[in-house]
Amino acid sequence: MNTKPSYEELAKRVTELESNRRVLVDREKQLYALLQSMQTAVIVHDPDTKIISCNQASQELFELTEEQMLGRESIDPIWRFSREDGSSMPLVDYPVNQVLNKREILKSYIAGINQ
Amino acid sequence: MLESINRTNKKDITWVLVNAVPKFDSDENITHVIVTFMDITKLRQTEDLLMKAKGEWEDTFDAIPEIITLQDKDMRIVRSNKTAKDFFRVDYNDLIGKNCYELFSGKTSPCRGCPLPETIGDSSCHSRIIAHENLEKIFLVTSSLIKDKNGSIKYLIHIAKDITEQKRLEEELFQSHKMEAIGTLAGGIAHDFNNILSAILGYSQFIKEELPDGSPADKDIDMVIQSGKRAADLVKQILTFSRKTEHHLQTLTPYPIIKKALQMLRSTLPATIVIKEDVDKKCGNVMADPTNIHQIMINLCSNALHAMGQQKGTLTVGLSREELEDEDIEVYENVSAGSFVVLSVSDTGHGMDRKTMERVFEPYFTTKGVGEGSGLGLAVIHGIVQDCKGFLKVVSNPNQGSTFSVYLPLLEESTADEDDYEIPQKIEVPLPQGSGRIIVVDDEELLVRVNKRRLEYAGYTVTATTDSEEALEKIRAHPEQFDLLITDQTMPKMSGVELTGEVHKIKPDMPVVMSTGHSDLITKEEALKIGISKYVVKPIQGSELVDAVGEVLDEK
Repeated sequence: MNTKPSYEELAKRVTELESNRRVLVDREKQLYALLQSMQTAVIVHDPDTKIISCNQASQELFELTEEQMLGRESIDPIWRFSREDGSSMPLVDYPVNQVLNKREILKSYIAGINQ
Repeated sequence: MLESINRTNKKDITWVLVNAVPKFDSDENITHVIVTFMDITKLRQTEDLLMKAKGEWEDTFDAIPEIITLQDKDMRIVRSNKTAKDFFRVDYNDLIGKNCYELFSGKTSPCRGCPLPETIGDSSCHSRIIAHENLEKIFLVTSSLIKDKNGSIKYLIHIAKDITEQKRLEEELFQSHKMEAIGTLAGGIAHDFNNILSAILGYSQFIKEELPDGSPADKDIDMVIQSGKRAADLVKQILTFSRKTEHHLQTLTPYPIIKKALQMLRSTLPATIVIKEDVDKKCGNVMADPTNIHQIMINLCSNALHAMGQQKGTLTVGLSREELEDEDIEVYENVSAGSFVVLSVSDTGHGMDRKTMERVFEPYFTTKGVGEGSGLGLAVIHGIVQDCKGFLKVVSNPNQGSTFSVYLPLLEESTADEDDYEIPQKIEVPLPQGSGRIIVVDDEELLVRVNKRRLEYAGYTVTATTDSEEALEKIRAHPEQFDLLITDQTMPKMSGVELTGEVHKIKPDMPVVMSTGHSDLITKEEALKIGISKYVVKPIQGSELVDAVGEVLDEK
């Protein structure tokens, strides 16, 4: 019994969707605000290691603006990681590369960021 | 590209803790990776500081030269420093969990006197001195504890410090102070005793002169005089020990004296004893009184013979030269480093234990039976050796014999007579007769009277007084009436030296004879320098005073 919805029904549905969209937009705003305001630096890479997202704390940590960070790959010389002993870290050991190579979570890995 | 990026030029490294999570789509392809960084630079800095502090503390702990262990409440070691590991000669792991007493003395319960149980009892710090018999070491053991938050014992701290050397030095210093105190006391007593003996001997002499020769009373008084002389000899020995006698120090080669002493000893030696000489004749010269060296030899050798008793044995007399550094002589007072002539006497007799060794130089300490020894022999040697700026060393063990070594500073120049010396002998002669007017002053009433009678008996005219100022007044009033002044040195108001000075202002050519028991206050040389013609040491025996007066007046 598949009858075409009535106008009233469509209007109600649109109103519902619009309301849900607003909730989602609000929630995204909240999450974005949370991400931006947290002290932990967060960077999201795509599978090619390009930065697709970064929060305020990460910009402060690397002393770069969001524009400077977005789109960069791990091979980019702005990254200069050190190992625990202070020696310079090979590219393959960069956190994002380790995760992409091993396809698993990397936990509590200590690295130095050369300023 | 990099240049376009605005970066601060900091060289520091920011340390981060990284977590990275891959996200997958429904085909298990990674869609993105979320990487989070937590700045842990401050944490790491704190950690570094903590590690540094820990390292420093551990280095310090290990560098402390005391044996330190941390123990649990059951006295099992939980931690120790390097000194402890080195001391117990075990690996660190073998130390942990062991009881300290187990390692220290192989016991199953705490060492006797250990302060730890006491600390466990009252939570305070305690110290005890514990002697380790097998190691022959003495430790100062200190215990304390650390409590946890609840106030129960967390750790016990046990610190052991090896104080063997310190104890030895303390004991030697104590011994040397004791000897000095005894010396001062004995010297003081001996001095007063001398005055009393002078009176006894003097009056006895007078009585003897009144008595017919060979009568029973004459024999009795001879006994009194003889006993008095023995007492005087004893006093002289005490004075030698307490370094209050005058020594005739001269440059001498010890060997001839030793040779003579040995000749003397050989004649009295039992056949079971062998004498060995280990002598370096060219060991050099020393500054000493030959009589004293002779006495040292006789005393040491007779002790050695006594130690060997009737058994077979060997007496070894050594003479050598030794170079000593500052650290070899630090415990001896008034001794300087350099070359020494060492006279040693060794025996193969019964030896001594530690306790005996500590006391051998004390006057009247003797291990010999009643009537066998006075207990003064070594005390006298001690005094003589100190006067020569030398020292005495004893090495002995029970049943392993003893070696006494006398160290005398070597004299560089070699001007001594190579061979002969004579120990002065006293020859008794009848009282000489003379004439002259003498004034005698001594604060001891009895002595003044003895001397007055003695001199009058010899034919002199004598004025006597116990007051030095009165004597001066008498001379000032009639200087022409006196030919000679006899004065004591130590008197109230004016000393003998002062009186001599005053008298010489009135009558510069007045001869003065000084009699004194305190020869350390003024030596013979000093006395002669200030115009005293003759110097007589108390107790005055026989015709000493009359001889002196006769000589002085004859010279005049």
